[in-house]
Amino acid sequence: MDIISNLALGFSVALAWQNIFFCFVGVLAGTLVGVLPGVGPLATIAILLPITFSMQPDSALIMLAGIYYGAQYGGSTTAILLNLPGEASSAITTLDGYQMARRGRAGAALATAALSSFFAGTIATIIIALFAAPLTQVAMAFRPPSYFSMMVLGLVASVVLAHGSILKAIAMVLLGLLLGIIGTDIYTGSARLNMGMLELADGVDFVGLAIGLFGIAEILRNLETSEKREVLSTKVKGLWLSLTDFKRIIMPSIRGTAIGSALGILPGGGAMLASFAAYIIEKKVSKNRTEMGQGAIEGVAAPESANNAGSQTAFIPMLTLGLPSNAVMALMIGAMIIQGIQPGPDIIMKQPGMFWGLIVSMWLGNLMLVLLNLPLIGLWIRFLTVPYPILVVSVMAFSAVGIYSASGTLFSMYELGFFALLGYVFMRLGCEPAPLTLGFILGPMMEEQLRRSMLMSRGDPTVFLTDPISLGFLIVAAAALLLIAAPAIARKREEAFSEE
Amino acid sequence: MHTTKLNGDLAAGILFILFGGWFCGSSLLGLSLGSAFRMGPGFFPAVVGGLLIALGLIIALNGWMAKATEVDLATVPWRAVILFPVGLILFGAAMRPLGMVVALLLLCLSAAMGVKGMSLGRAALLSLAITAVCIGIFNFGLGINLPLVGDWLR
Repeated sequence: MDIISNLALGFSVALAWQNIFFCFVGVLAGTLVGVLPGVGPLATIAILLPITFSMQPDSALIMLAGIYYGAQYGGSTTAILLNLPGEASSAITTLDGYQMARRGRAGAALATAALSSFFAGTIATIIIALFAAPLTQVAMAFRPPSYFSMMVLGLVASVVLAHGSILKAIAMVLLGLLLGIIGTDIYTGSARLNMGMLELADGVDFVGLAIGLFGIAEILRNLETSEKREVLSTKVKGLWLSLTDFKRIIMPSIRGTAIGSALGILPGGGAMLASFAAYIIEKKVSKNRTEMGQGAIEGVAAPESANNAGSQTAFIPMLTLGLPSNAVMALMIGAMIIQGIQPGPDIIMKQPGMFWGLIVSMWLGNLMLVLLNLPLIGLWIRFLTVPYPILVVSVMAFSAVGIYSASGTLFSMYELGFFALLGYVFMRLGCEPAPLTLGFILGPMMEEQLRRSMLMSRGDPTVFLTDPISLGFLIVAAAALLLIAAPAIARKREEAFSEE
Repeated sequence: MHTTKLNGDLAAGILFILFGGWFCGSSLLGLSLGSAFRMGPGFFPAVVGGLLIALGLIIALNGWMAKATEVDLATVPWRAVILFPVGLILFGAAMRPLGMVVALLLLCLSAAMGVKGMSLGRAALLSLAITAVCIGIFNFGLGINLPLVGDWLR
């Protein structure tokens, strides 16, 4: 069967020693940043992007992916032991996980988090393997108008599911689109919108933009509050589950995996949304729902499986359609473009080794996380005692050297500083930087597909409505926007996000 | 207690109007728009910039009229806001003439002094340590090709 030979190819790539090594480095770095509050996977991937320039494309993506799902594991460790979510997607795990730890069941909670995550990771890997290839077949039928409308839908969805004000999120997307097309016009070859700066001929540097917006701006934000972190010395015992515990986590894990897998594929979805949805649903359907919030093991299993499944199925639209469903995926696409790989449905044909290798490496990485993390928990907790100034200065030094080694120009430092300040200003004004990144990545692609569509239709804009696939995307996008504008749903949405 | 507050929505709206205005304006004035059939380089940025202006206006009006999210300016870490970019520019400027060691020291010192309550002595120690680690990782570990000692010092 096709799947078997594809997976065999994947294993042969993922098991190459350098890929095992980079997968290991990725999950290790991911766990570390997952443990440390204030440094997220976005910032880490951005900071490590320049290092991947000299790597093989498959190794680069395998490492960056490892950071992403590794962070889910690390985040849940601190959520359970310290009531401190290292990652936004583990925030809901604190509810029951920390209660379990307070009752001396920290070991069971950690084992639950690890096992349900591994279960979810395995299922999600199979889902990707099964659905990725057929989806690319579908995408092959896309014409330029369909692509354009698909990107519109992707951007709309990322807005609908973003935090806070929708208007601001849309504005951030538009600004991202505009920043993305600075540089040289591909059709005429003429320079545009560069303010007379020749350094911008190749466009705004994506790495500088990402590190500035997510890495340094986040640090500035964290420096606002100089609270001292307390580290409890919790002794973790009994890192295994009793048979009753084991039975109790089976159904929540399956439900969590299903919810996570579904929400992960949605544009704008991903790990965080998945974990919240899984917890809320578990609270409605679980046999032990009365215990939820007071240390129920289901309250750990459901969100932990969901966030891991969601973080992995988020790769499906990225790998098959070239459509980033969240900011991390936008960074992954950025990494591909830097490697000279054009994202889109061609990847599976042109880079089968990378495609399947990445998928298999995700499963291997999950396995590594289970085997590694449980014994190393004490070590991770000790990282929390690292004083913040050390972290601040290290991030600054790493970012600067990484970017400079790639660009070799003083200009790249201006860019980095500019986006750091811009990112900080936007965060303070309640504008999330993630939609901007999506817009930045999609800007040039959207413009190209728009211009192609118009050439195709000889200037007739109704082509977006007469192309059936395009029409479908536009209807869904319009429906999503209308729904969210409806007052009743707008209120619900506010409630859902205020729970975070 | 006196605190300086800023109307967040109004400020965000104005920022968007400025950005949109710049993109839209420079596309309309300096780039060819082309036709719907053959779009010029200015078409897309002019339209998207126009949309951004419109949204910025709505956001700013919203903020001006009613329940604005207020931003407290007193919590802004001014030292870091000023010293971080300064450090980055010093780093970039010092790299060629002075080399990576000096450039990194300058950057680390500025970054460390950006943290509230940092003494010069501790900042210096921290900078030395992180410079050493960085050079170890990048120059010897990853083998990137940046000169440790710059042109002027050789």
